Amino acid sequence: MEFYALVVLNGLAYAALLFLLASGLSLVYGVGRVLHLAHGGFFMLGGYLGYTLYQRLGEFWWALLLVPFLALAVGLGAERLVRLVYGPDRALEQVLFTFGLAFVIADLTRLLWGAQVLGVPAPPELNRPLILGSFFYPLYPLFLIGVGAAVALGLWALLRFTSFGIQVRAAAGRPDMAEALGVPTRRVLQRTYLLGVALAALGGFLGAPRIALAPGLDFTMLILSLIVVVVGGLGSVAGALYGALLVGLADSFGQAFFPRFSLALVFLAMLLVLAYRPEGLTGGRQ
Amino acid sequence: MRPLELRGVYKRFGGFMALAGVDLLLEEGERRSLIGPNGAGKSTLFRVVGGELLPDRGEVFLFGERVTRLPPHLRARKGLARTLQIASLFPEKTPLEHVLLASLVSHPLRNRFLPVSLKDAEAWGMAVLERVGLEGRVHVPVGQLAYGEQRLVELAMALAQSPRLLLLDEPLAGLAEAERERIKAVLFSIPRAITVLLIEHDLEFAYAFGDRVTVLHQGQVLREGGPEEVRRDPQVVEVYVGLASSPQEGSPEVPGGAPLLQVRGLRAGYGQGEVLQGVDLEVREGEAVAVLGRNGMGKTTLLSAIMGLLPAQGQVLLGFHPLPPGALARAQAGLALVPQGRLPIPRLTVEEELLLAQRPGRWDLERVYALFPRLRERRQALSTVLSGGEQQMLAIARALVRNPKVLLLDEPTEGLSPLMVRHLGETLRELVRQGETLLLAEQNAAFALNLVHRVYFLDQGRIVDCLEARCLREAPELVRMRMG
Amino acid sequence: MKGILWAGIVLLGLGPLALGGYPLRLAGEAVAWAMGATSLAFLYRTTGLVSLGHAAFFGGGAYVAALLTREDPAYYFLALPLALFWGVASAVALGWLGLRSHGIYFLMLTLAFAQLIYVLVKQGFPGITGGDDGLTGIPRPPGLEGQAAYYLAGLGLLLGVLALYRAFLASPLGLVLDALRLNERRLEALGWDVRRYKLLAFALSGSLAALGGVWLAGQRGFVHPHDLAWTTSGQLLVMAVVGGIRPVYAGALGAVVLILLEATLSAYTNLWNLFLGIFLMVAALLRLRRSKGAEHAPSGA
Repeated sequence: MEFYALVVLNGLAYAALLFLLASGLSLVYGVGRVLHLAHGGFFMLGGYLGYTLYQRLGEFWWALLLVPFLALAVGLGAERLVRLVYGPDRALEQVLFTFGLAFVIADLTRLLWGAQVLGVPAPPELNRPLILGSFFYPLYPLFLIGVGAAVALGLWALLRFTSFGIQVRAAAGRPDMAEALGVPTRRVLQRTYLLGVALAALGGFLGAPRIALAPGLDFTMLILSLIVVVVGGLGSVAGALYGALLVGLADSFGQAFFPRFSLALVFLAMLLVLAYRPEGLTGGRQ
Repeated sequence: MRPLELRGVYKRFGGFMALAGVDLLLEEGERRSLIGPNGAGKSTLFRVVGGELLPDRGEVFLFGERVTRLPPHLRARKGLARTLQIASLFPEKTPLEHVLLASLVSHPLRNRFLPVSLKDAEAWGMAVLERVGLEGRVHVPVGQLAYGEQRLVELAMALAQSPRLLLLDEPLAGLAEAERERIKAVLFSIPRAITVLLIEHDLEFAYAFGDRVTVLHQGQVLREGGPEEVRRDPQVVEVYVGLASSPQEGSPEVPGGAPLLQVRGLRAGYGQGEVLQGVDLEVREGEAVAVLGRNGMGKTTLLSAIMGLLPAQGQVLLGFHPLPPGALARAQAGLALVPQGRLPIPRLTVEEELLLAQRPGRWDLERVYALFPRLRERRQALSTVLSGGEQQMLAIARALVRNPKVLLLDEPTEGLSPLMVRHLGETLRELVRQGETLLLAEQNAAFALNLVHRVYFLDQGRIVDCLEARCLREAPELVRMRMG
Repeated sequence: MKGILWAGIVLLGLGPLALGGYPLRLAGEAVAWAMGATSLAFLYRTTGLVSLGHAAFFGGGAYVAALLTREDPAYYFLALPLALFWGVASAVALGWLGLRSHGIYFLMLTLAFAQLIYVLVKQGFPGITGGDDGLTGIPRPPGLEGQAAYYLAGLGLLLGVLALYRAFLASPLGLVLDALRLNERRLEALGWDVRRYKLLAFALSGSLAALGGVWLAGQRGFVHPHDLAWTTSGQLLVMAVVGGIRPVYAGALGAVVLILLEATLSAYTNLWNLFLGIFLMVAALLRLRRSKGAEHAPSGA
């Protein structure tokens, strides 16, 4: 019983990280119709930036606070570049360009932090178990789940209630009519991009105590986030949530019960969804 | 054996019924013209016949065989050929390659993967190209051809298939005068062995070409018969020119003032065709002006270009300031568009759309809700699930809360029931009374005449006339002459 | 002008033989990759579809060859047709799954397809496939053991393939498949069974990729799960695009450029991914500039 609970817990914690990464990817696609293959790089960058901040400041929470802002600074520059390939019917150019950007980020990261595996310890306040009766649950994954839920709620509220949120939905729903109604779609896209980058970087640092920092992390996470957005529905934040839950739990159960085929099953799921229901679970945005 | 038979065909897109029980029968060798206002269902009908769309109900028969569920390529094998509305060619290929692709479908050597001589197919292709008058341009990539020549290639491809039934979708659209004559000549010379079904907005040609004419309106066959009897049928005239029996009220005189919106030498088009060929017009402050014209003459292109949604050459000035390109800038400068088809934004509610659009000024949410009480009732509903009439109200409200200097309306009556049309007329008259400046593009002349001060006539992408509405109200034959 | 071009190509082709050693080995690699990249360019040329999953056919072909020939080089006569069969079968399967797909969705479909196979080979059945370590000790076909001989044979094979490709484009079938990329809907309206031709294009592309994979296995002497990973697919795509993707020689050109680039850069700096990345970004922008230029081409009077 306890074992199952632990598997579920791990799955949900993983899902939280995936959601942080995938929600930005989905939003940027929804608003700008561009598949941002460099997104995994920002996840990794967040982890590395946080690692250095944690080392310098000695305080996990300060590092956590500053990581998104530093990532935003990098994101501002990156957006200026990615902006060059916005537009419909440019799948090939977007793939090439964002791929290239991903390589650049990866190598710059390797230049600054080296190629060895780096670990980030969980903060002492969270590095102990939660005791419920006779059951011990590690606190950190619970914390991750909490953050994930808070971000999901926050995004929902942002999209639903703020004028920025309405603008995002309008730009995603019918960009030219939105422009004719005075919505500055380019600026909306820029802000969406920055939001996505900040979330990804946050996810990267939050995930660092559980996922080791090393070259290659960016592409590993990118592939996973692609699965999440595809399964959930490209362009939909709710879809990113459902997709993250599905992939996170599937991965956790897979690792626990048939480790050899867990990843294969996840890819099989992605394949089937794309073949028979390309719009994903929620229908996303075409 | 009848080349084409449609029995009780229904097709619905979401909440919109595009075809509502259409029956059609073509005899061998017949030439049939299919006409009707925008949104009547003509293109949908072609797509059902072509096999691109499956009807919800009803059957399609080609040469006596039931083909309702047959995919497009098998229908072509049975002798069906189509031209598509927007020139749908193979960009880098030459006209000769186009007709080869058309005629190779049943050629024994078509699956050879090494170069092989296709003299017979090439000879046939050259003959067809000669028939349409393209013999001098046979090896020129179609991307470098003039728009008219591209349409000829489209036609040649269809003829090269040696079809028994030919579907022509607006073959004259977007063409200059000389090119139109050329294509008309080719169309008239099609042998009677081929049955032809033609969609055209050029009513002169449609009446001249067809042995019989079918009029489609709101997804149903309104009238069918010989060209003369259809042309004179009062119902048909009403559908095209508008309700003749509405109160001839009109708007009071507006003092001549300085022009607020000026358009000079506007040229624009989609893809290769140039739709607007140098349009000049102006709207004075507080004035309501209509642009009338049949479909395909460029009304939507005109308004979209003024709004900045289309790249265009020429100038648009607001208050004597030239407007920068792009819809965002022009929206910020004070233009607002009520687009054709309403275009509600998916996933937004009525109130959210209004909140999104609003700018400071005398029109706020309360005031538009007062103008359209129905919108207040439906404020939390998703804009995409509203009825046609409600969406139209929303589109107008949305534009109003922007407190624009000029309000642009693109065919607001399209797809609305007569009751809604009347209500819409009253609403717009009220806006004019309150001093709003309007530019209205309409096919429904009677509707427009009831509320505007001045009328421009748009024909083949040019302004051909400008008259005061008052004069037109007193002499309705003038309108009928220009609108067909 | 053409004469100089041809002289240059001959020099490029025979040069490595003179240089021997490392350059010759690089050239051997380039031949295999050229076949793989050409197969991807072929698929794009005939269907307009961009694939990020060709590693499944390329690496798959390599594994098939490896599994059969480790015991005995004589089995090459069996390995080759079986690898080709694998290429055809897996490509047709992918094509069938992706019939209604296009653009970004198709791209991710190919990615998922290839990753599935990659993961199955790497983790699913390590007993057969050698798991994380791959398979070593792969011989070359009898008679071609020497590097020079192997390279020459590969070059000949590649040139043969390219000649066939060129002839193909001038054939009726080539015309149809080219048109398929340009306007699928129109082709169907003319009466062509578009589905069948699409699957044919997949089959041809897959078989060529598998051939390239077989050649790679022989060149290196080992196979590794990495050959099935999406980074390999990415590399093939980059090669095809860099070479221009449309011409017959695109794959070969791209492969040569990229392998040379990699070799020179990694000699000077550890950061060659950075330069590759910048190179890709510039290539993407150049493509955009070129296609934007084409849009504004004069449409005639």
